[in-house]
Amino acid sequence: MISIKYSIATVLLAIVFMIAGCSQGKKKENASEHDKSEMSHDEGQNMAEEQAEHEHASGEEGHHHEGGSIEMSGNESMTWKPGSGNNYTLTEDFHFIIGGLENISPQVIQNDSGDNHLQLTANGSPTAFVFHQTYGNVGMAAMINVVGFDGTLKLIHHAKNVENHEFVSINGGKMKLGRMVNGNEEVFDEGSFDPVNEWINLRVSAAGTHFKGYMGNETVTHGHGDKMQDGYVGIMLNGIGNVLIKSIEIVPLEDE
Amino acid sequence: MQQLLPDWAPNVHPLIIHFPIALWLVAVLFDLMSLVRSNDWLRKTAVTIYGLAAMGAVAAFFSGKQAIDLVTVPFQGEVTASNHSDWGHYTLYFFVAYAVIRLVAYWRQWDNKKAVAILFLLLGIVGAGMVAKTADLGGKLVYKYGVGIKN
Repeated sequence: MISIKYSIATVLLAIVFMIAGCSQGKKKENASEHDKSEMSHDEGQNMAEEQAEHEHASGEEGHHHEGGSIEMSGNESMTWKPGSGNNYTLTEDFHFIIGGLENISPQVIQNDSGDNHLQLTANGSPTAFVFHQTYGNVGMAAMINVVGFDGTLKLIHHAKNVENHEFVSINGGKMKLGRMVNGNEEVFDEGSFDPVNEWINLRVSAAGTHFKGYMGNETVTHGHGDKMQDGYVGIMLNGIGNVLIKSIEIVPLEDE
Repeated sequence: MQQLLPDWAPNVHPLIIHFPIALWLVAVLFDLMSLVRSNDWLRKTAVTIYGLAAMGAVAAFFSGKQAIDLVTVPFQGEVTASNHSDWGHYTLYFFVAYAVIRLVAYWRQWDNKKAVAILFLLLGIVGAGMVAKTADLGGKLVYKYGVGIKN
Protein backbone atom coordinates (compact mmCIF):
# COMPACT_ATOMS: atom_id res chain seq x y z
CA MET A 1 0.00 0.00 0.00
CA ILE A 2 2.82 2.39 0.96
CA SER A 3 4.71 1.67 -2.25
CA ILE A 4 1.60 2.51 -4.30
CA LYS A 5 1.34 5.86 -2.51
CA TYR A 6 5.02 6.54 -3.17
CA SER A 7 4.51 5.64 -6.82
CA ILE A 8 1.60 8.04 -7.17
CA ALA A 9 3.53 10.80 -5.39
CA THR A 10 6.54 10.24 -7.66
CA VAL A 11 4.44 10.34 -10.83
CA LEU A 12 2.70 13.53 -9.70
CA LEU A 13 6.01 15.18 -8.86
CA ALA A 14 7.47 14.14 -12.22
CA ILE A 15 4.48 15.66 -14.06
CA VAL A 16 4.79 18.92 -12.12
CA PHE A 17 8.52 19.15 -12.94
CA MET A 18 7.87 18.35 -16.62
CA ILE A 19 5.22 21.06 -16.90
CA ALA A 20 7.48 23.60 -15.14
CA GLY A 21 10.42 22.62 -17.37
CA CYS A 22 8.40 22.92 -20.58
CA SER A 23 7.10 26.29 -19.50
CA GLN A 24 10.62 27.65 -18.85
CA GLY A 25 11.96 26.26 -22.12
CA LYS A 26 9.14 27.86 -24.05
CA LYS A 27 9.75 31.13 -22.26
CA LYS A 28 13.39 31.20 -23.32
CA GLU A 29 12.46 30.31 -26.88
CA ASN A 30 9.92 33.11 -27.00
CA ALA A 31 12.40 35.56 -25.54
CA SER A 32 14.94 34.77 -28.21
CA GLU A 33 12.28 34.99 -30.92
CA HIS A 34 11.26 38.35 -29.56
CA ASP A 35 14.86 39.53 -29.75
CA LYS A 36 14.75 38.83 -33.43
CA SER A 37 12.84 42.07 -33.56
CA GLU A 38 9.34 41.05 -34.39
CA MET A 39 7.09 44.06 -34.56
CA SER A 40 6.03 45.21 -31.10
CA HIS A 41 2.45 46.01 -30.23
CA ASP A 42 3.15 49.73 -30.09
CA GLU A 43 4.68 49.63 -33.52
CA GLY A 44 1.75 47.62 -34.83
CA GLN A 45 -0.78 50.01 -33.40
CA ASN A 46 0.99 53.10 -34.59
CA MET A 47 1.82 51.71 -37.99
CA ALA A 48 -1.31 53.05 -39.60
CA GLU A 49 -0.93 56.54 -38.24
CA GLU A 50 2.71 56.66 -39.13
CA GLN A 51 2.29 55.54 -42.69
CA ALA A 52 2.00 59.05 -44.02
CA GLU A 53 5.12 60.12 -42.21
CA HIS A 54 6.96 56.89 -42.80
CA GLU A 55 10.66 57.31 -43.31
CA HIS A 56 13.40 54.94 -44.24
CA ALA A 57 14.45 52.95 -41.24
CA SER A 58 17.72 51.13 -40.93
CA GLY A 59 17.61 47.75 -42.61
CA GLU A 60 14.90 48.81 -45.02
CA GLU A 61 15.40 48.91 -48.71
CA GLY A 62 13.64 51.41 -50.89
CA HIS A 63 13.42 52.27 -54.50
CA HIS A 64 12.05 55.36 -56.13
CA HIS A 65 11.03 56.08 -59.65
CA GLU A 66 8.96 58.70 -61.32
CA GLY A 67 5.79 56.81 -60.46
CA GLY A 68 5.74 55.69 -56.88
CA SER A 69 8.19 54.86 -54.17
CA ILE A 70 8.25 51.41 -52.66
CA GLU A 71 9.87 50.66 -49.35
CA MET A 72 10.60 47.06 -48.48
CA SER A 73 11.26 45.91 -44.94
CA GLY A 74 13.06 42.81 -43.75
CA ASN A 75 9.94 40.64 -43.56
CA GLU A 76 9.06 41.41 -47.20
CA SER A 77 6.37 43.88 -46.22
CA MET A 78 6.09 46.81 -48.57
CA THR A 79 4.79 50.34 -48.39
CA TRP A 80 3.92 52.09 -51.63
CA LYS A 81 3.60 55.85 -51.92
CA PRO A 82 2.96 57.98 -54.96
CA GLY A 83 6.07 59.63 -56.41
CA SER A 84 6.40 63.19 -57.54
CA GLY A 85 6.81 62.79 -61.28
CA ASN A 86 4.81 64.98 -63.61
CA ASN A 87 4.35 62.14 -66.05
CA TYR A 88 3.10 59.63 -63.57
CA THR A 89 2.78 56.13 -64.96
CA LEU A 90 0.56 54.03 -62.73
CA THR A 91 1.43 50.93 -64.72
CA GLU A 92 5.02 50.96 -63.43
CA ASP A 93 3.74 49.64 -60.11
CA PHE A 94 0.36 48.21 -61.06
CA HIS A 95 -1.52 46.54 -63.85
CA PHE A 96 -5.22 46.61 -64.57
CA ILE A 97 -7.53 43.61 -64.32
CA ILE A 98 -10.51 45.65 -65.45
CA GLY A 99 -10.72 49.14 -66.91
CA GLY A 100 -7.70 51.27 -67.61
CA LEU A 101 -5.98 54.58 -67.09
CA GLU A 102 -8.69 56.40 -69.02
CA ASN A 103 -11.26 55.38 -66.38
CA ILE A 104 -9.45 56.85 -63.38
CA SER A 105 -7.15 59.56 -64.78
CA PRO A 106 -4.37 59.12 -62.18
CA GLN A 107 -2.59 62.26 -61.12
CA VAL A 108 -0.11 62.99 -58.37
CA ILE A 109 -0.94 66.08 -56.35
CA GLN A 110 0.88 67.65 -53.45
CA ASN A 111 -0.69 69.01 -50.29
CA ASP A 112 0.50 72.12 -48.44
CA SER A 113 3.04 70.16 -46.42
CA GLY A 114 4.58 68.65 -49.55
CA ASP A 115 3.13 65.13 -49.25
CA ASN A 116 2.24 63.42 -52.49
CA HIS A 117 -1.20 61.97 -53.00
CA LEU A 118 -2.41 59.91 -55.89
CA GLN A 119 -5.68 61.36 -57.12
CA LEU A 120 -7.95 59.08 -59.09
CA THR A 121 -10.94 60.53 -60.88
CA ALA A 122 -13.33 57.67 -61.51
CA ASN A 123 -15.73 57.99 -64.44
CA GLY A 124 -18.18 55.30 -63.37
CA SER A 125 -16.66 52.32 -65.14
CA PRO A 126 -15.48 49.52 -62.85
CA THR A 127 -11.70 49.74 -62.66
CA ALA A 128 -9.23 47.62 -60.72
CA PHE A 129 -5.47 47.92 -60.58
CA VAL A 130 -3.21 45.50 -58.74
CA PHE A 131 0.46 45.21 -57.85
CA HIS A 132 2.52 43.00 -60.12
CA GLN A 133 3.43 40.55 -57.32
CA THR A 134 1.13 37.81 -56.02
CA TYR A 135 0.52 36.98 -52.36
CA GLY A 136 -1.06 34.23 -50.25
CA ASN A 137 -1.89 35.13 -46.67
CA VAL A 138 -1.69 38.89 -46.72
CA GLY A 139 -2.50 42.07 -44.85
CA MET A 140 -3.22 45.24 -46.78
CA ALA A 141 -3.73 48.76 -45.45
CA ALA A 142 -4.57 51.77 -47.58
CA MET A 143 -4.57 55.35 -46.37
CA ILE A 144 -7.32 56.85 -48.49
CA ASN A 145 -9.72 59.75 -48.72
CA VAL A 146 -13.09 59.02 -50.34
CA VAL A 147 -14.90 62.22 -49.43
CA GLY A 148 -15.24 63.20 -53.09
CA PHE A 149 -16.20 59.73 -54.27
CA ASP A 150 -19.68 58.33 -54.75
CA GLY A 151 -19.60 54.57 -55.15
CA THR A 152 -17.85 51.44 -53.91
CA LEU A 153 -14.15 51.18 -53.19
CA LYS A 154 -12.68 47.71 -52.69
CA LEU A 155 -9.35 46.50 -51.41
CA ILE A 156 -8.96 43.30 -53.36
CA HIS A 157 -6.64 40.37 -52.68
CA HIS A 158 -6.16 36.82 -53.94
CA ALA A 159 -7.21 38.27 -57.26
CA LYS A 160 -6.94 36.10 -60.35
CA ASN A 161 -9.13 38.38 -62.41
CA VAL A 162 -12.12 40.62 -61.88
CA GLU A 163 -14.44 37.63 -61.55
CA ASN A 164 -12.28 35.80 -59.01
CA HIS A 165 -10.98 37.74 -56.05
CA GLU A 166 -11.54 38.45 -52.38
CA PHE A 167 -12.31 41.88 -51.04
CA VAL A 168 -13.29 44.28 -48.35
CA SER A 169 -15.44 47.07 -49.74
CA ILE A 170 -16.77 50.34 -48.40
CA ASN A 171 -19.64 52.42 -49.63
CA GLY A 172 -20.72 55.31 -47.40
CA GLY A 173 -20.72 53.90 -43.89
CA LYS A 174 -21.14 50.28 -44.96
CA MET A 175 -18.40 47.70 -45.15
CA LYS A 176 -18.67 44.34 -46.84
CA LEU A 177 -16.25 41.42 -46.65
CA GLY A 178 -16.39 38.62 -49.18
CA ARG A 179 -15.21 37.09 -52.40
CA MET A 180 -16.11 36.85 -56.04
CA VAL A 181 -16.06 33.36 -57.51
CA ASN A 182 -16.66 33.13 -61.24
CA GLY A 183 -18.47 36.45 -61.07
CA ASN A 184 -20.75 35.46 -58.21
CA GLU A 185 -20.45 37.44 -55.01
CA GLU A 186 -20.23 35.56 -51.71
CA VAL A 187 -20.49 37.81 -48.65
CA PHE A 188 -18.71 36.66 -45.47
CA ASP A 189 -19.79 39.54 -43.27
CA GLU A 190 -21.20 43.04 -43.37
CA GLY A 191 -20.81 45.89 -40.93
CA SER A 192 -21.10 49.61 -40.56
CA PHE A 193 -18.85 52.38 -39.35
CA ASP A 194 -19.06 56.13 -38.85
CA PRO A 195 -18.11 57.75 -42.13
CA VAL A 196 -15.52 60.43 -41.52
CA ASN A 197 -14.69 63.41 -43.67
CA GLU A 198 -10.98 62.80 -43.58
CA TRP A 199 -8.28 60.26 -44.33
CA ILE A 200 -9.17 56.74 -43.37
CA ASN A 201 -6.99 53.70 -42.91
CA LEU A 202 -8.87 50.84 -44.53
CA ARG A 203 -7.33 47.47 -43.72
CA VAL A 204 -8.00 43.90 -44.69
CA SER A 205 -6.31 40.71 -43.54
CA ALA A 206 -6.54 37.23 -45.01
CA ALA A 207 -4.95 34.60 -42.78
CA GLY A 208 -5.83 31.06 -43.79
CA THR A 209 -9.58 30.77 -43.66
CA HIS A 210 -10.01 33.89 -41.54
CA PHE A 211 -10.76 37.26 -43.11
CA LYS A 212 -11.13 40.62 -41.40
CA GLY A 213 -11.93 44.14 -42.46
CA TYR A 214 -10.76 47.00 -40.28
CA MET A 215 -11.41 50.69 -40.20
CA GLY A 216 -8.25 51.94 -38.54
CA ASN A 217 -7.77 49.65 -35.56
CA GLU A 218 -11.43 48.72 -35.23
CA THR A 219 -12.62 45.38 -36.57
CA VAL A 220 -15.78 46.03 -38.58
CA THR A 221 -16.17 42.74 -40.46
CA HIS A 222 -14.92 39.24 -39.72
CA GLY A 223 -15.70 36.20 -41.80
CA HIS A 224 -14.51 32.78 -42.88
CA GLY A 225 -14.13 30.93 -46.13
CA ASP A 226 -11.97 28.41 -47.92
CA LYS A 227 -8.38 29.41 -48.50
CA MET A 228 -7.83 30.68 -52.02
CA GLN A 229 -4.77 30.36 -54.23
CA ASP A 230 -2.22 33.17 -54.27
CA GLY A 231 -3.29 36.21 -56.22
CA TYR A 232 -2.79 39.90 -56.78
CA VAL A 233 -3.63 42.66 -54.34
CA GLY A 234 -4.87 46.08 -55.29
CA ILE A 235 -7.74 48.55 -55.42
CA MET A 236 -11.01 48.50 -57.32
CA LEU A 237 -13.28 51.48 -57.89
CA ASN A 238 -16.86 51.39 -59.05
CA GLY A 239 -18.31 54.87 -58.87
CA ILE A 240 -17.84 58.49 -59.78
CA GLY A 241 -15.61 61.14 -58.28
CA ASN A 242 -12.21 61.60 -56.69
CA VAL A 243 -10.31 59.18 -54.50
CA LEU A 244 -7.04 60.19 -52.88
CA ILE A 245 -4.45 57.59 -51.92
CA LYS A 246 -1.61 58.48 -49.58
CA SER A 247 -0.05 55.04 -49.19
CA ILE A 248 -0.65 51.32 -49.53
CA GLU A 249 1.00 48.83 -47.23
CA ILE A 250 1.25 45.13 -48.06
CA VAL A 251 2.35 42.63 -45.42
CA PRO A 252 2.75 38.94 -46.27
CA LEU A 253 1.38 36.97 -43.32
CA GLU A 254 3.60 34.02 -42.66
CA ASP A 255 2.62 30.83 -40.91
CA GLU A 256 4.67 29.97 -37.84
CA MET B 1 -20.99 42.64 -18.66
CA GLN B 2 -18.17 44.96 -19.65
CA GLN B 3 -18.83 47.04 -16.51
CA LEU B 4 -18.23 44.02 -14.28
CA LEU B 5 -14.70 43.54 -15.61
CA PRO B 6 -11.68 44.90 -13.79
CA ASP B 7 -10.40 47.98 -15.62
CA TRP B 8 -7.19 46.21 -16.72
CA ALA B 9 -9.05 43.43 -18.51
CA PRO B 10 -9.75 44.08 -22.23
CA ASN B 11 -12.54 41.46 -22.17
CA VAL B 12 -13.72 38.45 -20.19
CA HIS B 13 -11.73 35.87 -22.21
CA PRO B 14 -8.46 36.02 -20.20
CA LEU B 15 -10.44 35.55 -16.96
CA ILE B 16 -12.08 32.34 -18.20
CA ILE B 17 -9.43 30.50 -20.17
CA HIS B 18 -7.48 29.18 -17.20
CA PHE B 19 -10.40 27.08 -15.95
CA PRO B 20 -10.55 24.52 -18.79
CA ILE B 21 -6.75 24.27 -18.83
CA ALA B 22 -6.36 23.65 -15.12
CA LEU B 23 -9.46 21.48 -14.77
CA TRP B 24 -8.50 19.21 -17.66
CA LEU B 25 -5.00 18.65 -16.29
CA VAL B 26 -6.38 17.85 -12.85
CA ALA B 27 -8.88 15.43 -14.40
CA VAL B 28 -6.03 13.64 -16.20
CA LEU B 29 -4.21 13.32 -12.87
CA PHE B 30 -7.29 11.78 -11.31
CA ASP B 31 -7.47 9.35 -14.24
CA LEU B 32 -3.85 8.43 -13.61
CA MET B 33 -4.53 7.87 -9.94
CA SER B 34 -7.60 5.76 -10.63
CA LEU B 35 -5.50 3.62 -12.94
CA VAL B 36 -2.98 2.95 -10.18
CA ARG B 37 -5.64 2.45 -7.58
CA SER B 38 -9.01 1.40 -8.92
CA ASN B 39 -11.52 3.43 -7.01
CA ASP B 40 -15.05 4.53 -7.89
CA TRP B 41 -14.64 7.86 -6.14
CA LEU B 42 -11.54 8.71 -8.21
CA ARG B 43 -13.33 7.81 -11.45
CA LYS B 44 -16.42 9.78 -10.46
CA THR B 45 -14.25 12.78 -9.60
CA ALA B 46 -12.36 12.56 -12.89
CA VAL B 47 -15.60 12.42 -14.90
CA THR B 48 -17.02 15.37 -12.97
CA ILE B 49 -13.90 17.46 -13.56
CA TYR B 50 -13.82 16.56 -17.26
CA GLY B 51 -17.43 17.80 -17.43
CA LEU B 52 -16.52 21.05 -15.71
CA ALA B 53 -13.52 21.47 -18.03
CA ALA B 54 -15.78 20.98 -21.06
CA MET B 55 -18.16 23.63 -19.73
CA GLY B 56 -15.18 25.91 -19.16
CA ALA B 57 -14.09 25.28 -22.75
CA VAL B 58 -17.54 26.30 -24.02
CA ALA B 59 -17.30 29.55 -22.03
CA ALA B 60 -13.72 30.15 -23.21
CA PHE B 61 -14.72 29.53 -26.82
CA PHE B 62 -17.61 31.98 -26.87
CA SER B 63 -15.71 34.63 -24.90
CA GLY B 64 -12.82 34.24 -27.37
CA LYS B 65 -15.17 34.61 -30.31
CA GLN B 66 -16.34 37.89 -28.84
CA ALA B 67 -12.87 39.04 -27.79
CA ILE B 68 -11.17 38.71 -31.17
CA ASP B 69 -13.32 41.50 -32.61
CA LEU B 70 -12.71 43.79 -29.64
CA VAL B 71 -8.93 43.80 -29.80
CA THR B 72 -6.47 45.03 -32.38
CA VAL B 73 -4.32 42.36 -33.97
CA PRO B 74 -1.24 43.61 -35.86
CA PHE B 75 -0.83 42.06 -39.31
CA GLN B 76 2.11 39.97 -38.10
CA GLY B 77 -0.12 38.33 -35.49
CA GLU B 78 -3.07 37.51 -37.75
CA VAL B 79 -1.92 33.98 -38.62
CA THR B 80 -1.36 33.22 -34.93
CA ALA B 81 -4.85 34.58 -34.17
CA SER B 82 -6.32 32.37 -36.88
CA ASN B 83 -4.47 29.30 -35.63
CA HIS B 84 -5.52 30.06 -32.05
CA SER B 85 -9.12 30.25 -33.19
CA ASP B 86 -8.86 26.99 -35.17
CA TRP B 87 -7.26 25.12 -32.27
CA GLY B 88 -9.93 26.59 -29.97
CA HIS B 89 -12.55 24.97 -32.19
CA TYR B 90 -10.81 21.59 -32.24
CA THR B 91 -10.26 21.64 -28.47
CA LEU B 92 -13.86 22.56 -27.77
CA TYR B 93 -15.23 19.73 -29.92
CA PHE B 94 -12.80 17.25 -28.38
CA PHE B 95 -13.52 18.31 -24.78
CA VAL B 96 -17.29 18.19 -25.17
CA ALA B 97 -17.29 14.87 -27.05
CA TYR B 98 -14.86 13.31 -24.59
CA ALA B 99 -16.80 14.52 -21.53
CA VAL B 100 -20.03 13.06 -22.92
CA ILE B 101 -18.32 9.74 -23.68
CA ARG B 102 -16.83 9.62 -20.20
CA LEU B 103 -20.21 10.32 -18.64
CA VAL B 104 -21.82 7.50 -20.62
CA ALA B 105 -18.89 5.18 -19.87
CA TYR B 106 -19.18 5.88 -16.15
CA TRP B 107 -22.94 5.38 -16.21
CA ARG B 108 -22.54 2.06 -18.04
CA GLN B 109 -19.53 1.09 -15.89
CA TRP B 110 -17.34 0.61 -18.98
CA ASP B 111 -14.48 2.47 -17.33
CA ASN B 112 -14.11 -0.32 -14.75
CA LYS B 113 -12.10 -2.23 -17.31
CA LYS B 114 -8.36 -1.60 -17.23
CA ALA B 115 -7.98 -1.38 -21.03
CA VAL B 116 -10.78 1.16 -21.29
CA ALA B 117 -9.29 3.18 -18.45
CA ILE B 118 -5.90 3.24 -20.18
CA LEU B 119 -7.52 4.35 -23.44
CA PHE B 120 -9.37 7.12 -21.62
CA LEU B 121 -6.14 8.26 -19.95
CA LEU B 122 -4.37 8.42 -23.32
CA LEU B 123 -7.25 10.39 -24.81
CA GLY B 124 -7.14 12.69 -21.79
CA ILE B 125 -3.46 13.33 -22.47
CA VAL B 126 -4.31 14.10 -26.10
CA GLY B 127 -6.86 16.63 -24.83
CA ALA B 128 -4.19 18.14 -22.57
CA GLY B 129 -1.93 18.51 -25.60
CA MET B 130 -4.69 20.21 -27.55
CA VAL B 131 -5.47 22.72 -24.85
CA ALA B 132 -1.72 23.33 -24.40
CA LYS B 133 -1.40 24.13 -28.12
CA THR B 134 -4.39 26.48 -27.98
CA ALA B 135 -3.02 28.16 -24.87
CA ASP B 136 0.45 28.50 -26.39
CA LEU B 137 -0.98 30.34 -29.41
CA GLY B 138 -3.11 32.52 -27.16
CA GLY B 139 -0.09 33.36 -25.02
CA LYS B 140 1.88 34.23 -28.15
CA LEU B 141 -0.85 36.62 -29.22
CA VAL B 142 -0.58 38.50 -25.95
CA TYR B 143 3.11 38.31 -25.10
CA LYS B 144 4.62 38.38 -28.58
CA TYR B 145 2.16 40.56 -30.47
CA GLY B 146 0.72 42.55 -27.58
CA VAL B 147 -2.90 41.75 -28.40
CA GLY B 148 -5.24 42.91 -25.66
CA ILE B 149 -2.56 44.89 -23.88
CA LYS B 150 -3.59 48.37 -22.87
CA ASN B 151 -1.06 51.12 -23.42
